[in-house]
Formats: sequence, structure tokens, C-alpha cells
Amino acid sequence: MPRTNQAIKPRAPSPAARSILQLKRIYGRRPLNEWRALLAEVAAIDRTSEPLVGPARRKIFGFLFLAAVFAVAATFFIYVAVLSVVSAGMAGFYLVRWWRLRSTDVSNDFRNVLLKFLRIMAEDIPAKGRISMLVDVSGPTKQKLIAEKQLPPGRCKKIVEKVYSDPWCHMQAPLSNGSRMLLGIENRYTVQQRTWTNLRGKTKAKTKWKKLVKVTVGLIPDPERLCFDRDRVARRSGQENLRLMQKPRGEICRLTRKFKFKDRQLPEASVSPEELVGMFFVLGSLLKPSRRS
Amino acid sequence: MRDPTQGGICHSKKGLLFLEDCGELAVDTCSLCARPVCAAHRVVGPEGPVCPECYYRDQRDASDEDDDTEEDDLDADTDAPLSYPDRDQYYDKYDYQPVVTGSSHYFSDRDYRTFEETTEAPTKGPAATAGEGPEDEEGADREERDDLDHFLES
Ligand SMILES: [Zn+2]
Ligand SMILES: [Zn+2]
Repeated sequence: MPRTNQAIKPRAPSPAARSILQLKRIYGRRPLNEWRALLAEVAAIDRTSEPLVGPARRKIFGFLFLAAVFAVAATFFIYVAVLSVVSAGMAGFYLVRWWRLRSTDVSNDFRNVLLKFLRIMAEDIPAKGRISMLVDVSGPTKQKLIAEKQLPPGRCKKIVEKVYSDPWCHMQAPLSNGSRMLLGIENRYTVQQRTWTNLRGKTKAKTKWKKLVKVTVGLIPDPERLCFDRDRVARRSGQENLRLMQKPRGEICRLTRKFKFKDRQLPEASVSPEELVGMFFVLGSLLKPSRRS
Repeated sequence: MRDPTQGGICHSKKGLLFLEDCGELAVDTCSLCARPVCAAHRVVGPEGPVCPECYYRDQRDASDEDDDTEEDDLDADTDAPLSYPDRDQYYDKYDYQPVVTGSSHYFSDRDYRTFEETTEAPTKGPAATAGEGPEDEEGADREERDDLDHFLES
């Protein structure tokens, strides 16, 4: 009888997916279906490996603890030293495993936001149209640190604030009616580490994360067919961060919105893909037929 | 044998932000409204083949009765296109009237902005060539990077 675990053995990642997992970013021009297949592959790998990171870490500490206990016991019964060595070996095994899982762990916004958004917008993007896209899945890394300062401590002993700027998604896609859409998403993370001493003289620490997601959407209508209704744009600008710009390749209307999330750890929540669609609907509602048509 | 589609093209609409004629060859007609539909837009229901719009209207009427609307599972890594109820749910949620090009006066129970095209829809214009055919890859890449830079600058 064939062994079932052979049948469900995961396929090796494609070279492009492996490159994303290693470099944590990708830039390219590809048709929609290629982007979706590639990002879905990375998402599937991330979804399987992500839940294994925590258990692997716990096992490192578990086996290290066992190794220490057996080492102490070995001073009484020498043959227990073998168990200590085996435990230390297991700790090493899980350390390597943890490190490998960690090195391919990617930020989740691309699968929670971008991948779902692409599925919705597939309705409007022609199958052969090439989408230019830059996706960074590394999250708030040291390279993205833009500010670090000590705040007035107040009742605390020390407050350190760090700000990271993570512009993780830029894309431009042709739409089936000749217009083009643009999307930019930047996450700005602010993390505060507070340290204080409690009444018993023990030093305590607490971390607070804030995630500000700035979404900018743009629409370049096909001038042969459509243009923006300036009166409607002007009226709407009063309520929204909306701007109409003349560019060499036509007029672009741009809408920016910000979404805030807070957590004790790196916030997992982000803007919903439906919200992005809603923003494009705002731009779509400002169009009128161009005089040329 | 009589061709039920009368050699026609599919009268369904595709798109979300912009609605356009599907334009594929029809393989059947809707058993409720007699509109020609292509293979992708044919939904086989208990009444026989129906068009997506009739199917949705049916579903919506049914869900109004038992008030049990099904949400599309965006989490699923699937290539399946959005189902038609979703399209209408987006329009309802964001109060959007999509821009319709092509044959007009098509939908009866929803407000669409139909921009009448005085001449035939440009089939060989930028719409038809967007992202298709041979193109100067490097040039297009540079232009798009410029557009993105302009677009993101504050
Ligand atoms: Zn019908
Ligand atoms: Zn069709």
C-alpha cells in the first residue's frame, strides 16, 4: 500500500517563490494570473510554516531545560549524561528548524490584502494585461527604521519610541476599458517600549504597537472615452484627501485614506481589500464621458 | 437544428469598476429572459440555463425571504471569478453606479451610468491593446515607474 505521507508531500517552491521568500521582495511586470499564482504559492508556504515557528521555539527551550536537568542528574548517575546529550542535540535540531522557518517567514499583509484585492479586481483587469508591481514582504525591519527617540518618561523609567516606514506595495495595472489603476500602500509602525519599576522594586516592561496604513489609489482614464468631472472632484475634495493631477500620460485622480490599528504586538490587522475597492469606486464615480468620444 | 442563440454573442456584462459587454460567442439562452449567454456566463439552475443576472435576482429574492445571504469566501485561494451576487453586494455597500460601455438599457433593476457611444465602441483603440501584443518592454516599464513616482509624490 502506498504511504499516504508521500502523496501529500508538498511540492518544492518554484524559483520565483523561493526568491521572494529569500529576498522578501519582488518587482516585475507580469500578467494578472501569473502574479496571482506566484503570490498564492508564497501565501500557501507562509500559511503552513508560520504556525510552526512558535512550537519550534518552545521545543528549543524545553529540550535545553531537559538537558540541564539531566546534566545535574548525571552528577549522581553518570549514565544519565547520555540523556542530557540527546536533549541538547534535540534542542540544536529545533534551533536549526526554527531559524529556517523564521528566515522564510513573511509579512502577512500581501496575502490578507493584496492577494484578495487582485481576485476582486480580476473582473476589470484584462487577462493579458501586464501589471507592474513591487511587493515587499519583509515587514518592519531595521532598514526601515526612520526615527528612534526617548520620550519624556513621565511615571515610567524610560520610554523608547521607534518608527518604521514600510511602503510594501506599489502597483499599476491596465483595465479592460483602456483606463489604468494605481495603488500604493505604506504601513507606518510606531512601537513604544516602556520600562518602569514597580512598588517591590522589580523592573517591568511593556510594548505597544501602532500601525497606520496609508492607502493611495489612482485612476488614469482612457482620454478617448472618459475624463474626470472637475466640479464633482472639487465637491468631493472638501470631504476627502483627493487630488486631480495633469501628467504627461493623461490626468490622474488620486485618493488617500489612512487606517489605524493597535496591539500589544505587531498588529496583524490591516485595511480590508473591500475598502480598497470602495476607494476605486469613489474615483470611478467622478468620471464622465470625455468630449472626444 | 435551430440555434438557440441565433448565432449571437453573449449579452452578459463583465467587470466591476467598469461594466462592458462580454462579447464571447453565446452557447445558450437564458430560460428566463431569453438573453444569449456564453459558457462562462451560463449558470445552470433548477429552471435550466439562466444568465447571471437572472440567477442573482432569483437568489436575492430567495435570500430576502430567509434572510440568509452567503458571503463569498475571499480567503479561498481560488481562481474562480467573483460570483455575481458579490458584484452587486459591492455596488450596494459602496453605493456605486458602475460605468457601462457597450449595449445600453440592459439592466432594469439597478442604476447604471451608461455613457452612450455615438459610434461603435473602439475595438482597436487603446482599450483593446492595453497590455497586449508586442510592446517596448523597457519603455513601458520606465513610463510606468515614472507614473508611479508622480502618483505617490505628495
Ligand atoms: Zn436572464
Ligand atoms: Zn459571457
